[in-house]
Amino acid sequence: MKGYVHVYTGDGKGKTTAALGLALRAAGAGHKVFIAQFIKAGDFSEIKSLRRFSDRITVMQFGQGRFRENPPPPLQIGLARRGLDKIKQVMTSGRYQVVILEEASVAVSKGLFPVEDLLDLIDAKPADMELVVTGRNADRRLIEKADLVTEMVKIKHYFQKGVKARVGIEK
Amino acid sequence: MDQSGGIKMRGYVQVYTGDGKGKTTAAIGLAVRAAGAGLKVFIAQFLKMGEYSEIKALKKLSKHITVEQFGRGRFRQGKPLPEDVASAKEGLEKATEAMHSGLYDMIILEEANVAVWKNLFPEQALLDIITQKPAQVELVITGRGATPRVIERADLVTEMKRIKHYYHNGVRGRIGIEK
Repeated sequence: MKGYVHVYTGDGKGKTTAALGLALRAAGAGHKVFIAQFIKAGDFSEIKSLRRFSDRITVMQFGQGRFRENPPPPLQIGLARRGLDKIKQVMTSGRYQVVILEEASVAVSKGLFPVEDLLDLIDAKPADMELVVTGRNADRRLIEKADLVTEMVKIKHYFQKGVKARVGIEK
Repeated sequence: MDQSGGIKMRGYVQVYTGDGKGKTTAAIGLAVRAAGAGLKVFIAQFLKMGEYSEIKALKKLSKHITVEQFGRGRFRQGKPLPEDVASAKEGLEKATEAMHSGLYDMIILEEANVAVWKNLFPEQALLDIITQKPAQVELVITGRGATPRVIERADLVTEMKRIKHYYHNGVRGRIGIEK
């Protein structure tokens, strides 16, 4: 089966959950999935659930949580770089049919690594592998190179009404 | 049960609509996240029938996630058959029951917007479910073509907008990716 490149971007809720749903669907079909999470750190509820699928879904985090500094803290850059190296390894291993780069677009827009690194990964993608990139502010060149792009557009969000992120719903 | 110290959180109404890929997977992802926090989820799938890959995977989380299908597969263009209408109606009843049972923290109505658009049940039936929602239950509605009144009543609405889709290049739905 030929694999494609998906990009989920935009300011609306649903990017991470869409990638998560894709991972689950792929696992249900017997595929092996590798999820690299940039920026994020910690035990989100979804990670607890995904442990039930550890024979098919591997999750690794390459971040320390959100940050405001510009330029970014060297440690964050180092972790993101390590993530990129790991993904290259994973892609060439032939063991995974689906690779998900969570928040990779944010990693680019925050200056953790240049968009060229992401484009290089797409070029290096084995033909039968599905590659999924999430995060708001997807770079124009990434969108150009992708086969499928969905923009999650925020029409309404309860955060605007002061609702805080809830365990099991947002994290 | 939740993990917020026994005090039930307030629940909201989320709508995922638009013509782009990601509505169903977002709802499935939400269900998985909720299950990870110990929440209980009821998913009613309208229109769909059959073992999608995600349903196979969700069986591993059956302690937390219940999935029921109320469709006979997608019917062709035009008028739905009485059987289609009947199974959609059954789905609404079961979802309403689940919502009031106190057993579930999250109710997902998969493709319910499409069911309205295809006249399987009136828009009012969906609005009634929103009105009746117990305060602590999270209600998630998916499907393209959400009506303005459903959008108005929702607390959170994301439009999955198709910027590009490989279907336009003739790619068919693939097991493990689209189904």
